[in-house]
Amino acid sequence: MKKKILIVEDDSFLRIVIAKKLISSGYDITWAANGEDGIAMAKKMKPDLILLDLILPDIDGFGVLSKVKEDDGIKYIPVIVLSNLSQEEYIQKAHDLGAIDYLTKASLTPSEIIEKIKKTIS
Amino acid sequence: MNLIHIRFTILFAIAGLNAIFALFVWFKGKGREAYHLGWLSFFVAIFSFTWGAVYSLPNTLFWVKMTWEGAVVVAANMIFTYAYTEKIRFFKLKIIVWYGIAAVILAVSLTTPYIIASISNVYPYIIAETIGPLNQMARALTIFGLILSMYYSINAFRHSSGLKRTQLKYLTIGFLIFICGSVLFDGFLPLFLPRFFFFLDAPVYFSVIWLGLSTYIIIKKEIFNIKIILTELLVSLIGFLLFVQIFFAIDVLTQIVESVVFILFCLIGYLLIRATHRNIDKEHEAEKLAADISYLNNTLKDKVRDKTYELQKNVAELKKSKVTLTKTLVKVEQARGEMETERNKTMAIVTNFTDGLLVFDNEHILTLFNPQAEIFFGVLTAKIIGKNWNELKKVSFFASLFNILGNDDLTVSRKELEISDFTLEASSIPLTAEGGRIGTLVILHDVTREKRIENTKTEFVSIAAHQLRTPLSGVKWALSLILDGGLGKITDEQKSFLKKSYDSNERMIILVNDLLDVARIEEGRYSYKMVPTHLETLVKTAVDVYKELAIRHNITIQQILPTHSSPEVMVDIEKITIAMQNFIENAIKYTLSGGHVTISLTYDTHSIEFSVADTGVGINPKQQDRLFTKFFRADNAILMETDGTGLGLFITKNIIKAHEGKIWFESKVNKGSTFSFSLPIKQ
Repeated sequence: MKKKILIVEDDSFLRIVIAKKLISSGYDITWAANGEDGIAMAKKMKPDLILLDLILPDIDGFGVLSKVKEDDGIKYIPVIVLSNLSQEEYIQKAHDLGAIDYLTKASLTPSEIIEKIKKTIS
Repeated sequence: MNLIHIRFTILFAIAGLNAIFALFVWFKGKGREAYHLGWLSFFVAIFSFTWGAVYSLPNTLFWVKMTWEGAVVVAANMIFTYAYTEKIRFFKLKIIVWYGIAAVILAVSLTTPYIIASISNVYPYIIAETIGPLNQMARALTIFGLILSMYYSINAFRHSSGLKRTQLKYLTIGFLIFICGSVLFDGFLPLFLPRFFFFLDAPVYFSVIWLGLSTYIIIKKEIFNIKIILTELLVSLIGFLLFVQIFFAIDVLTQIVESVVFILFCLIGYLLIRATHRNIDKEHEAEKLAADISYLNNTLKDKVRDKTYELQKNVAELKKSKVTLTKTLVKVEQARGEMETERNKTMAIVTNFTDGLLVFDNEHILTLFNPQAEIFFGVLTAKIIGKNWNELKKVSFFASLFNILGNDDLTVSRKELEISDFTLEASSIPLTAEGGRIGTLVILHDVTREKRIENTKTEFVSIAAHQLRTPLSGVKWALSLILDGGLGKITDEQKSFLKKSYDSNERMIILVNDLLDVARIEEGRYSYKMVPTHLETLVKTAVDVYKELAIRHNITIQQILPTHSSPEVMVDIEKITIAMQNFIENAIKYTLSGGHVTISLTYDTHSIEFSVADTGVGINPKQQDRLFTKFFRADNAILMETDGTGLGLFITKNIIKAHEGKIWFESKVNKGSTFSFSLPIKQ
């Protein structure tokens, strides 16, 4: 059975590129363009992994992460933060809130991101 | 018996008395003056005898000439005066001189007619002299001697005190009588009135008075005890007479009576002698006491004099000290004035200082709190000055300040402190004076505005980075997807173009990352996660990243790693890797095709050293000192690679600094460069 990945990303182009790569790598994907939708999708779809951007139009990635981790129904879902913010304090904060990994978009190619995801949910 | 008989009898008696006195003095007396008094007395005896002889014995001329033995008496008197008044400097010389002169005069008188030419009996008992040519001179010398000894006596008397003064008084009076009489009757009168030749023997009679007084003072001076001797003599003489009388008594009754008288006399005599002894003893005691008192008195006087002198000296010194002290006080006053001015200046600075200033003494008591500090803390100085830490902890924001300062008195440098609306930088430094610590100065610098700007800047950088990175990421991902064939097959030419686009995009990403790093370094927010690490692993990883680049540039890379594992050092793995990569990347980029890059790791007990040596273009010596500055790129580097940011070495230097390491390089143009850093090994 294909693993299901939820992409929470407001930039449509990035979302499309990574989605394409994930699909071609054999994953089912679902997506949300803002925080609220992200949380709702997570609850509804119960994905195997959430790829979470931090800067989002409504509630930011940290807000989404906290909500997910507070909700007993979905808190088991591993969350990988995929952001362009690379400051240590954000990385630390994400880990503190329960993110399993923190990836910086600009320093990784889609293939490298897939590798990380594979390692997480294999 | 006529008058002349009486006269020579008296003269002989005086001669005898003097002779006895001389013997007494010699045998019973002690010391220099007794000895010379003996001689004086002896010569007076001869003088008396001579005059007796003049009136009674044949060869009158000889005896008259012999009366110049008076000169010897004068000499003896001089010597005695010297001895008695303790003028004993050149004493032997004085004896020789005076007796010498006297002997010459006597000899001249006896052997020549120069002093006495002849005599004539004007009357049986008046002898007239016919004087010789030297007579006046001899007479003058004699008178001079007498007057001199008189002068000494008076002088000694004037400068004497106590018992000695009393003694000298009698001696001087005796002299006066003796000398005046002698000078009068033997000196002046005969010169003018020939009938006074009758009294040429007058000095003999005056000598008795003088002798009596001398004896008196000798008794006082305890040369010998003549009182007892005289008493004993008298008692013995009378006793002897009474005893002899017993045998010449007319009848038995008289004999008995005389015997009783004798016995009674013996008894009375004994009592008399004993009483005299006691009397003498008491006198001795009294005199001794007087002498002691006198001595004590003198000692006291000496001491008083010494003390007075000392006191005067002290007073003088005190006066001098007072002058010096006054001068010093004036100087101190001046210095005080200057200090006051300085203090006022300092206080003005402290009061108007835009930083908050607090001073705590060694007991942690607040001793200074300036107006700016009042504004920060919102409390008035008067309410908190003089309080210690424990009391201050309860006041407004002091607790948070003390948390920063800590309880140990170490220097604190620019620690951030939030107080109400202010963001402050708190620093504390020990205050020292004359080598000792006198307290702690706390400086609170208002960085509220800077903080606000900094926050805005950080926010801006973050957002800018994000906003820049997002499209760059999109390009990167899309190109990567196409290059990987994720969107279908592409031609080699397309692939080549897309690859170049991808690389350009990568450079942009690196530039943004570097800018972000620089911004964070400058904010002091470039954080480090130190973990114990073996550097070999990091070296290998770093080299691996650049293997491909090296091949592209046709450069061989050689690694020299330690044979034994290097000791662990505390590093931030990611940051140290960046530092190593910057060195390696530079070496590859700025070495011409066919060159070599040697990467080595060495260590000793104190540090571990990482070096990258190349055979590249090198750095112009003129530009070497700017190498680690931000955005700097060497001229020859720009020619070779146009896309460098000039940030790599700046970042590297900051990373090494944060690890307390050292960074350096050696370079020669067209020969190559070696870049190195070393990190301390902490035991």
